Amino acid sequence: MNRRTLARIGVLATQTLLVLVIIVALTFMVFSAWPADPALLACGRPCTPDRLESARVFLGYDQPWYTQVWNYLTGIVAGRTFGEGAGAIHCDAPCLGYSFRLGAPVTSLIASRAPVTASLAIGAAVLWLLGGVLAGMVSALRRGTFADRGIMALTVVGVSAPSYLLGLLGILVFGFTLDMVPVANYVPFSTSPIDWAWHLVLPWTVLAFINAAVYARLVRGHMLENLGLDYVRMARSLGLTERTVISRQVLPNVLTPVIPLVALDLGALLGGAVITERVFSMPGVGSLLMDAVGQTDLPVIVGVTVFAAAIVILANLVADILATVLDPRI
Amino acid sequence: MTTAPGAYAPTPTRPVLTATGVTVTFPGVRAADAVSLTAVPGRVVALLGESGSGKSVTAMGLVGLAPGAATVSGSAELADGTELIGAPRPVLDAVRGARVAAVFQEPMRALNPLLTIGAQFRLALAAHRRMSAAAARDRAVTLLGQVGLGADAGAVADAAGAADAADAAGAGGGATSGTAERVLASYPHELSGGQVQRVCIALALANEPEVLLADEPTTALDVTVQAQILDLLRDLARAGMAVILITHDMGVVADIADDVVIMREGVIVERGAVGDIFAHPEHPYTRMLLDAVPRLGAGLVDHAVDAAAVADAEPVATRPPTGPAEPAASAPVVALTDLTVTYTRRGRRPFHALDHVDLRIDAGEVVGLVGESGSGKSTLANVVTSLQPPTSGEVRILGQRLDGLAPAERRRIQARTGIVFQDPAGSLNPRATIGASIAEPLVLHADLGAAARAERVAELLRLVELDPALAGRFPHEMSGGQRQRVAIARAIALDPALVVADEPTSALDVSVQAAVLEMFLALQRRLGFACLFISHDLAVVEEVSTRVYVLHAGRVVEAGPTSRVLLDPQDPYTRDLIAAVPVPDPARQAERRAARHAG
Repeated sequence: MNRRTLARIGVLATQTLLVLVIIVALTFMVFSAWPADPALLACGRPCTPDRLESARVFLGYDQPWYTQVWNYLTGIVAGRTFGEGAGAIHCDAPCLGYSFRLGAPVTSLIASRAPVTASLAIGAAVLWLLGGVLAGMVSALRRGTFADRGIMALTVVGVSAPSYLLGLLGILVFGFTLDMVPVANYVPFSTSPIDWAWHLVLPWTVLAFINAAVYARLVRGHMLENLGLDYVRMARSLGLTERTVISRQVLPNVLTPVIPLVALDLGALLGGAVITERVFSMPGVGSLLMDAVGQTDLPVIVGVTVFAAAIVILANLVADILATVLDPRI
Repeated sequence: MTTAPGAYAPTPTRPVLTATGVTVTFPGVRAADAVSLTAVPGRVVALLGESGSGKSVTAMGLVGLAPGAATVSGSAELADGTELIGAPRPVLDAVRGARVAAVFQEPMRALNPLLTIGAQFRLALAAHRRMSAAAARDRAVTLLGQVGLGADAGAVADAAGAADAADAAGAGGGATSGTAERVLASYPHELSGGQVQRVCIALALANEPEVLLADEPTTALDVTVQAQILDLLRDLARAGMAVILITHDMGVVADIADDVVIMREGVIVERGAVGDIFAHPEHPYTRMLLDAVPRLGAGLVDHAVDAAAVADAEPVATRPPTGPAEPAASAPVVALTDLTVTYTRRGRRPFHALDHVDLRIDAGEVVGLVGESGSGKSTLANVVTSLQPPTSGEVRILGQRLDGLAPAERRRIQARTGIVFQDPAGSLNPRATIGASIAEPLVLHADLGAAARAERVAELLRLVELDPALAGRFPHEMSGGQRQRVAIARAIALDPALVVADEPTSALDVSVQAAVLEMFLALQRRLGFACLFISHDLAVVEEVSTRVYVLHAGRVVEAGPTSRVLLDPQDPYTRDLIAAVPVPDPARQAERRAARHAG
């Protein structure tokens, strides 16, 4: 990694930070304009106008919008306290708001759910990367054969079938009919690594299958393109075996554009695999969000949105850095 | 480099590779039919032909490197009896690189963009022998030295020519004793085209092959770099290598080939020693090829005669034209004064694509612009066609200053300027009929009804000597020459005062180029437009232009009447440029090469 690469990474990181601040402010502003009154949720029963007003002051909704944005931003950096005196609730940094419905800071709600989502997303990403690249390579190298057609047919299924359909089918077939794998719930890794993996097998497979389909097509395309390029002909003309040509010359060229993509897709999932978590009853960030939406728990909705946006933006940064590091021409 | 030229002894030796009856077929097409060829140590055999002649697939088919869809039959036997055609991959792997190696046309694309040169050497060496990393590195340094990328003067010259690439790599310090090491640590995009082609040759030599297949090895290179690469190939042959050179360039053949095999549409039409073929071509196709080659120094006479003949035949076409009055008829069509175009990129030194350039084109005049890649030719074309605003200096087109011009005025001037690009396949919309493409400027700038437009399109097609019935065709249904005629028709659709022709014939075969050039010149005389004719080919420029500007690294190093500049160049760069062009005459080329090395 030379100086130019480092300089580029520095620029990328600065840009990311800026975008993050803007996203936080925008998200907050969008949800502040929401018709539902968050003070109503916090005011308790019976909700007299007096109590409503004090809840509003307590939450800081009596302030002008820019002060609210500022308070929210500083809350992320330094934490904040709602209310004053004995009844005050402190929310530690990074504070993404406080859910009165659940009686907990949003940050700790997300933190308790994030391992579930991370287990799901990262495990699935490993599977789909391996599966997608392998399937794509086989497809390209055996172009026109039965294997190629079979793989491409499967990818059509993977690309077009929605995850809930595959998820429910998986539960029906492997969970109930064949009774091979558990169909729901999450066991923390710390409790039992084996149970953890066992409960995740089905959701991993479903998520991986859907994404692997895209990757298989991508890898197949890149592979076929690269196999027709002059550098491959040159490598063959030097007496390199086809194995060496594929593994040492073609594969790096195929993977260079694919790896940053994994970072992007993984980032999108880490913010909450909403449907998959729902289907498999996984208590992840996605189901936290779904519950919050159902109950108009605004602070949680805002907090999860900001969290997901941050993850996606960081994933973009990682993708850009990976692209810079992997490809000497960038 | 490897041996002194004097060490060459032209004793006939046993061929190391004998190809007999090689036939290459693609589904539905026979690309090569019963081609026979021998590769003899110490000799360069040129396989000469135009595009589609099957020269490349034949040579590559010998070692199983023809495109996947090709079926190759016949026999290609090495001296020890190893048959290559139809051989299983392991046999081919053992032969490729170690006994028969190849270099290709586009050096930049022939190397893996993600691997350092050093890594590519390691892979090439590891294909045939076990060696430690240190030994591989030493071997690579030796090989780079052999191809002039060591510490010697050749590398310095090339590195200087590639100042851009070297700067981009952040290693613009010039070549010192560490040149080979620096090259090994580089990625292909950090080197110049000439350097990369040297690297490719060094890679091909890595396992000491007996035969080198060189597939248009200099076609993508500038002429001065071409001269160096040809010298290198020649030295390799003199050191005992059997070289099969695939080329379309008569000058290249005259420069380094010992024997020539001429192919046309998959069949060998003539073969023989290079001197005989050039002196007494027997086959009409060979004669036609030789006649079609533009020759430096020959064009002057032809040009004068042609001009006189045309002037006699068509008295109306005297220049400058007496047609509708240009704004200020005496004013030059193009006047660039002290023009500078600077590209700035953050973190880089500002790059002067054009550096204080003065240029003038009078009405009805054809002015040549010559320069190698990166010299600023295309930037200048973009300035003249107001696609690129100048950083400083004055641009006057048709007497009007371009800067500060109202958009409508600018459009009016653009309508008086036609452009012909190098690659007609790229500049014509593939989804539009050629009639629609030609009519496009008419739609934009002329107020004509549909019938009048169709009539004008037909007239334009006739002007470029195409059948008006072709208007309904799509670009892919036409040949390269026809497409370029279409591009010319579009450029003249609005009866322009100026046509900028950017390498209009360099993508064409010589025989086609000759015809297109002739048509273009006749058209220019008839319509009287001024023309900026940009080319890297000095002979072509000589044929078409009355005055010429030589551009080098953004500066005009020499300007003047074409005959004066080309026959009596004053600037050292112009002299090098002219000396580097191989002429299609083996005897004269030998003298020129000797003179170049002495100088």
